[in-house]
Amino acid sequence: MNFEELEKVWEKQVIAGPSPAADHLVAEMRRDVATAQRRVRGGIIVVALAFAVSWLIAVGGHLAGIKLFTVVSIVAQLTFTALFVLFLIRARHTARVIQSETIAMGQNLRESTAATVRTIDVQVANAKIALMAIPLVVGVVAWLSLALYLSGSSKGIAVTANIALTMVVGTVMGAAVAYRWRRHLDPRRAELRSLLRELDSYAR
Amino acid sequence: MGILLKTAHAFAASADCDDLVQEMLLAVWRALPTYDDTRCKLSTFLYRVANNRAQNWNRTQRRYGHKLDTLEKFPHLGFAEANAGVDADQRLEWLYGIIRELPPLDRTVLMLHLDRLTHREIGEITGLTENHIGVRMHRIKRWLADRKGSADELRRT
Repeated sequence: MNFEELEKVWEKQVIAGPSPAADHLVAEMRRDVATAQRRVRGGIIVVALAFAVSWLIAVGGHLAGIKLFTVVSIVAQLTFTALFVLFLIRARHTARVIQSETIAMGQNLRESTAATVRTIDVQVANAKIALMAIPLVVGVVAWLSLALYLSGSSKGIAVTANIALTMVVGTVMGAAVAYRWRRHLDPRRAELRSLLRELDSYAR
Repeated sequence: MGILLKTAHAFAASADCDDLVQEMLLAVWRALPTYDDTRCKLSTFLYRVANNRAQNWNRTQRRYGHKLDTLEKFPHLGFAEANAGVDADQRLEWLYGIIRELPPLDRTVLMLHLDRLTHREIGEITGLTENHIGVRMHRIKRWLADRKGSADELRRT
């Protein structure tokens, strides 16, 4: 094929159809971004509420004399507090990397691809952490539930239900994380790394 | 708008084009506060964001899960001739089908070249050296020349 022929066809292209009002488009995008941000904030609030409620119930129960603190229950509360704080630190780090990817969109392809690779690296690292943390959390929950049962704080049926539920939820979460890592993140990372190598070889 | 539409067609088949245009619009919207008119022209900035988003776009990733209402009333690509309406879609599919046969980086270089950008401007957008862009364009032209059946397809359109 002649390159000039392709050029001729390319030049005949025109933009047709109605042009949306700029203010309407801006309003719509602003709303869309706000919705996405609300969703993230909503997720953080739900997790924070669940965390706060568990402390409120524990402290309230102790003060009302319904369920007094024991060494095991305090260890359980503190363990989950530590896990919650670690989760927040990781989420903050991930959000920063994603933010820098957004900023890099206005830079050249090489810089932008490098930023996207960094984001995927963080997501892969998160997946690895989750796959190590999930069995650990399930184990800790099982151990603490057993300890609560042995100390007489919980009934056998509650302990069994708690362990079973944690195992089912942990397995489903682990499978979803592993699937996303292997099927989406890994191939995407390989593709972008190869593009980045190509760009790096002939960089300005 | 033409920059976004052309880039979207080069990286996504018609069915996914609206999704990619939406992603590009959002990327432009989010990156706009970082635009510095003393460092590059607005068109260079738009080419950068559109190509960056297209290159990094993953069709399996649906971040927002819905389309902007405005996209339904959006302009689209067509052809200048009066009788083009009949086969405009087919013609577009043919043109961008050829471009999509190229590796992603070559698609970007070819489109920017077809939009009459200089090698220096293409370098500003991609981060490649001007020499390498020349070499790459030479290879693309050779690939097009070797591509069988294309001239007949073109005449039919």
